[in-house]
Amino acid sequence: MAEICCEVAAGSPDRKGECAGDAGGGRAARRRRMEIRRLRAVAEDQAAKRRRLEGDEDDVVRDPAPRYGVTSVCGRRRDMEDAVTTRPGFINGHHFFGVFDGHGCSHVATSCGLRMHEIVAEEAAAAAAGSSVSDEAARWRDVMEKSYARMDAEAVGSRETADPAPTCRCEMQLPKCDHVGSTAVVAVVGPRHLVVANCGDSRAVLCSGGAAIPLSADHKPDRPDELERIHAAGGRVIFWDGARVFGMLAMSRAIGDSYLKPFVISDPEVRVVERKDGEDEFLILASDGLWDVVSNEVACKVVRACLRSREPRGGERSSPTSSLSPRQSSGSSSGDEEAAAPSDGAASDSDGEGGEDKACAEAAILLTKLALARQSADNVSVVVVNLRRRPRS
Amino acid sequence: MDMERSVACYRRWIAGQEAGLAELVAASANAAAGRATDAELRAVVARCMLGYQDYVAGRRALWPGDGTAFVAPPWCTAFERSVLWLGGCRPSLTIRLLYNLSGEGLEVQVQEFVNGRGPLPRGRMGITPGQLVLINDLHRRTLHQEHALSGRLATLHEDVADSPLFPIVRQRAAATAVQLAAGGCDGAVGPGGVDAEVDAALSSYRAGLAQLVAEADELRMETARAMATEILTPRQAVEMLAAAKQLHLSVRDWSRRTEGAGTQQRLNGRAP
Repeated sequence: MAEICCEVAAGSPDRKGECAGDAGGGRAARRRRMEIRRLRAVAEDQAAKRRRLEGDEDDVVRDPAPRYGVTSVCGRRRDMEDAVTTRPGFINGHHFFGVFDGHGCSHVATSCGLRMHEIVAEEAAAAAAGSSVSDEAARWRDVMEKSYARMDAEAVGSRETADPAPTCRCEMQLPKCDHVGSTAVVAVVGPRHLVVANCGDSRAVLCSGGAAIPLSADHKPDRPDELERIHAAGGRVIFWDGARVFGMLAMSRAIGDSYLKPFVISDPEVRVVERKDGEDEFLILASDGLWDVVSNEVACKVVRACLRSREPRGGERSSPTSSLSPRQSSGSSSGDEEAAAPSDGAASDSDGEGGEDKACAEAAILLTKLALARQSADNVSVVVVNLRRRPRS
Repeated sequence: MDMERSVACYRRWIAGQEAGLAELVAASANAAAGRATDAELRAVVARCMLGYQDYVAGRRALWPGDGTAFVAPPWCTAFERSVLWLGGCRPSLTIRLLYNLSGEGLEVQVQEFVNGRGPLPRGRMGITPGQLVLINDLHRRTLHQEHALSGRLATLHEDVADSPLFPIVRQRAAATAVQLAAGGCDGAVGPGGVDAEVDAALSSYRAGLAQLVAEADELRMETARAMATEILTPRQAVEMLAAAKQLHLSVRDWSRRTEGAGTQQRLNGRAP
């Protein structure tokens, strides 16, 4: 509990007091506060350096993190192979969201959930330090491509290194371990840009100006350009319960799956789009457990209605009346914070600070329930990020 | 004798399921009309849970230390037997059932909600976001334990080809061969009689299975109990338990109709 709380606190430093108190002892709390302050100072210093390098907006640091909500449920599958990561402020002024849908076993998705944001942060720092490219979009594309390659190398090589004790069902012992992989859809929300990288059939959809705009294109083996790429590499796509690479994997790109290389690759497709204040409403990242049964348009309508129903101007708020503590869920093994629940102390309602948010969580949960009601047979993971900037306090 | 008492026990259980369903349906109607207090609904739920417990305890008392009677009981239809997992429903069935109940009515509510009418959709049963999180946790805990029990059942099955049973089989076969060679036998080749050693070997399997069935019963009840008394409101719990009984009794009734075997009718005491 304290651990999660502190994670939140690190993301939004203003809430650290209560959390540190939770961890016990005023002195410990003070020490932690100092530490956080120190970290912040360092981070701000680096950010200042980076701003000089990047010619970025001058008040990146004060731009609060966006509000977001997450759900990740097992649903009708007997194995939980999805992992979700949310890291507001993972690098200064930038916020990381990722959905990873594993196949074969959960351990590649779990590694992605634990490591991808760290790798992206490292690559972004390296790019900022030694950058010769002035174009921000090109630099992010490069960062994401390098990050995915590193993530893939780690996932494939993790059988040898395997530092944290694996708890997945294959326990990384069987030779079949090569047959394990994961999708990865990652969104980095920056002060001026949205960066979306994708590999596999999870999806990111932007709702902007009332329209549902997919920011990633699913990597299905029968997508004409992917089919051509696979054929050019000497691979085959066989229709066996849908289009599959060699009749096996139903996606044409993935992290892991070393047995299907070079036909299945881990290169992401990266989109960098400029943020349009006033038009951009929110971003949805989800695994195919949602997209198989809910269209982009319907998903956007549902989220918009949820965010609208909680807007402060007048009207009643339909607050959840559950008397149960939804936080009991946190001991997850799906990689990261999952199933962020509303009506929780850590979830900000709509106050100035960014982070977990009731309206976004309600939207994510409603989409999940809709997917289950529509007989989705898969794990369902949904992240909703509100892109409306809040007025600074 | 034991068979007769087992059938009687099962028949009482089915009668209890039917009576329980009537009580739950009435309670649900009362709740919908605002005529039932939470305390009253809770009492109905408690009685239902007690019914499960009584059946499990009753049949265990009939066959102490022997699980073989429950895993494919002849008094069930072939269809029912094929659905059984360690003598009952899969514990995770409770969660699947709830996912389907919680989705009822949701589509229409979402339609109205996105059109600017109506409150945040919760489905007819009104499952809250917090409850969904708890259900997911229960699901994963239950699946984990179910998986562990399935693994132990597989091991027990495989143990049949191992000691203590298999060495006895080999030993008896060798003894029979020696007897045949000596001409001391009139061609009657069989495994030989059931002596204390054989009985002990069979009993150890029976006891192992009884242990697994007992743990499966425990997991079934624990999952249903957590769902009905910790996660759901009394009113939701009544609905969930009623739906579970409807499912059980419908499957039983329809499979009896389609199988329609005389033996079934005899075993279940219904006139042909």
